[in-house]
Amino acid sequence: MEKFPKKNIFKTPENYFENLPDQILEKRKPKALHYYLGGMAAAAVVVIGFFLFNGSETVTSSISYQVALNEEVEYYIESGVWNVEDVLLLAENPNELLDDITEEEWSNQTWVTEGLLENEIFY
Amino acid sequence: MEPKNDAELLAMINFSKTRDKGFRILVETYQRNVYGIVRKMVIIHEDANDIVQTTFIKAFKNIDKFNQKSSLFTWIYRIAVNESLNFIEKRKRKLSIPIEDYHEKMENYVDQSPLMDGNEIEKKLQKAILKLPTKQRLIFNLRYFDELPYKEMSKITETSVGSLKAGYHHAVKKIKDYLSKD
Repeated sequence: MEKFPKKNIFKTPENYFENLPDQILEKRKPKALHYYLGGMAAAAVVVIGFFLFNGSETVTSSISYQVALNEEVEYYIESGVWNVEDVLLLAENPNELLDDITEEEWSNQTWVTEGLLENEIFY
Repeated sequence: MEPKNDAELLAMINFSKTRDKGFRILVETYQRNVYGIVRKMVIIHEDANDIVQTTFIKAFKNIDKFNQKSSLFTWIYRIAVNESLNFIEKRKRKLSIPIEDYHEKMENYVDQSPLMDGNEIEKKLQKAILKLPTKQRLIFNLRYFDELPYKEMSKITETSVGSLKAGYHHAVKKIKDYLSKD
């Protein structure tokens, strides 16, 4: 073994370590926004549903229509018809909401412990 | 003000106004070590990059569960090692990609990728290491390249020092045998 140097032969793309912290820290933001948009979509469905179905026929048809509406709202968001600003404008306190969602997401994660196996060490 | 030790860094992270800066310092402090061990396990840069990012995101999300019985270095290393092993396990279980093909892919990467340096002997050593079972490979990398003490390795891998020493011994013998064939 002595004749083999311990030189690191693994290269990284240029400026990889300079950019990595930003990439990691940025990775969280769209997720938080996604939850936020999802929440706003659900809220929009409730509001629209309320106006459309207030006093109308059956609960079943109301639910199925709300599901369809939900899909439609999500479609608008995902397809880019409604952008982030549009959805944020629907809220009275977008910054606080966004902070709350981010905070909640960071604190509610469940820790998955995946132990190592010893049984592969010998063979 | 830059934190001088784990306790100061954790205090920074626990305070909402300095949290982002604290996490940034955490990544900047450990990213090279974490990337190093992950890359040696999965060889391919793109895979290593994914695992490193997942490692730090998991660390962020669970920093409140860090009990400070070990150093932050050991704790983050342990997450990185688990993520790497899980990644390889998933590759093994993927029926569409036989494990032999995955190994071949890594060997080819060692030979051909522009993100690999090193001369013929160094590449040959890497390919010999790739022949080892995953856990032995991990033990060998932690000991031979990262030069970690067995006690530290024991904390990271949650494996006894005796098992690690035996595992390293087996690994070295196999590598020597493989290299002496040519």
